[in-house]
Amino acid sequence: MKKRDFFVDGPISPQFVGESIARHQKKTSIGAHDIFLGQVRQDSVADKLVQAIEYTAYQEMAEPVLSSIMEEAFDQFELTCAHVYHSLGRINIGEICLFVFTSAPRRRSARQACTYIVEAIKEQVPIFGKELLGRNDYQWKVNT
Amino acid sequence: MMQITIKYFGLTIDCTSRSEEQLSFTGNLSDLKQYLIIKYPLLGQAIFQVAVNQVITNDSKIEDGDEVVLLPQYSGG
Repeated sequence: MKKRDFFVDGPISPQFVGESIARHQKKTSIGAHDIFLGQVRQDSVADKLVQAIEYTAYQEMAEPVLSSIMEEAFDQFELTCAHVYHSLGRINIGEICLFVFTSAPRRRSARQACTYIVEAIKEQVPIFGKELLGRNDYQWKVNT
Repeated sequence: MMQITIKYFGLTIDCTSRSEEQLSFTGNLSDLKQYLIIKYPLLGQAIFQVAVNQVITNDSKIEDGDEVVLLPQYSGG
């Protein structure tokens, strides 16, 4: 499998998502796509509101782990292609920080693979979110 | 003495006030954890896994030139 670029600096734009869909229109064996978009939520922490999340990753480990997650998804599900993009750096509330895009001949494989990849990312990939609360205050994000 | 690189992520950066350091060290991974907890007492209350050369391990062996990384709970997505 070719080396992929999983990480992007800054938020993932809605335009990029649209362009990604457009790029797949030439792949005529595809009958279904599934897309997961993670958006930074304005959680409230005590009496403060999350303004943004600053993401860092241990990239030397994250990239091979992500590659093996993708290989596992291709082994388990009948996929035509799959893509993952995760943001690094500051992502403001309302912006997209994770884009998982799976394509398959039929819907079931696309949907199951997308769910599999999202859950595996949350469990296995060393990415860390710092929830910025304004005025130099922050807390480390905990996935639920 | 072995020369090792230690990297910190997430909460463990707060515990140590650094993201990376070089260390001359003799001992295994358990010795290293004990050493770091004495050096940075806040680490004693933190929950983290350890990766040696990009692989999560409980194996106690460390070798010269290894990269040891403290990884608290992941929070991607």
